[in-house]
Amino acid sequence: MKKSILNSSIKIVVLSTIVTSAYNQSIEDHQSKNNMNFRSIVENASRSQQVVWVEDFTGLN
Amino acid sequence: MSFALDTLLREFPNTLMTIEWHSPGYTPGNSDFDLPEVYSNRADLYDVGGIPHSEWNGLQSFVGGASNCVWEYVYIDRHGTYEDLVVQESPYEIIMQGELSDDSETFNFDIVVSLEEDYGLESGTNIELFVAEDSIYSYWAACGESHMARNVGRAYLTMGEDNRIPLTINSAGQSQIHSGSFAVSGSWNTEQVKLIALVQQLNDCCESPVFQANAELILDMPIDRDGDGINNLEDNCPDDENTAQEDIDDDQIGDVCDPCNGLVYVLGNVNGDANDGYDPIIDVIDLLAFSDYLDEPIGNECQMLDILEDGMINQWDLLVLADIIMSGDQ
Repeated sequence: MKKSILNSSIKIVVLSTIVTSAYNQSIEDHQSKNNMNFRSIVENASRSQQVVWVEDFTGLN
Repeated sequence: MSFALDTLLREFPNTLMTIEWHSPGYTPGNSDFDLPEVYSNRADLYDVGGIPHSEWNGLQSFVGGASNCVWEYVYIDRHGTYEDLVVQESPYEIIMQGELSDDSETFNFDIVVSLEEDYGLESGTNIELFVAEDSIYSYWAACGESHMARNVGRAYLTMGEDNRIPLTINSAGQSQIHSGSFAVSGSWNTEQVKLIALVQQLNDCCESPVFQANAELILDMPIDRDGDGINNLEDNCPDDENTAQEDIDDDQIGDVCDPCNGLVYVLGNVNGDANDGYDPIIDVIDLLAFSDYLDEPIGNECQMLDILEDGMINQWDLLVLADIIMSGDQ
């Protein structure tokens, strides 16, 4: 699992350069969309809809 | 008001729940709708004076009915009230299960209140329990016609200090279970009897907000919802049939309903996606998700982000994940 950090660094710099120059805007859009989806999932997962509760004080007369 | 509420109940059967308490002074003597002590107790909670009075989520009061029994305009107003309130969210979830005794005279139940996120417990918050009977054909003298009285209160199981059930949970994932029973009167139509549970803050001085509610017909309350032979409270997935109760990560949540079962959220699958065969997908999208996480650490408990397994989640984990993806070693 653990790889050479130096080797990883070189690869990621190369990857970043290519990706950044060619697909910068695309990635930003993707990141933004992904971030929003991620946040939405987390927020929605944490709460339930509250049932509306009514107590009706009434009579038959 | 009763006609308006009846219409709303038909329109929103899953998100609107009600109970009606009958004022002893406005109900014929031959009716068994009167529960003077209960009425007094609940009416005092909301400072109820004249009737009709409806209390919404323990926070909003409406007093007065439809003049000349023309209820449609009341329906329109209260429809708006419903629409305003139904968008609210709650950290609480209430699940009920129970079983009628063999002689049909007693209903034994369990109420489970659970918290889906950390939530500071408001002082005086309790589990409130009621029994109601729905759809009782009744003559309403004021309007000179009969109607179906909806969810007529039959018992207030948690009335009084001795019967209170204080809520004690305040952290995500916690739940509180209350087991109890009540006598089922032979004069009730058992098919229409409901158990109702609220999470409500009871205040003597001021508003008594309701944070969540649930109501179910007692005969529709199966003790084994998914029919796998294991009762809900003992079932590690009460809504998914899993007779074998497989639990690969031994977290007491069965594999079939556990998002953190170690099968999808494996090391590196940051966004938790999977193919049609439920095999995890680890790709460049996970890198982006990891990058987002480092910018703003909002995640979920299932994610395995400590790639280096050094107890820290940082850029070094991101680098190693990139290496794993580029090498195809996932």
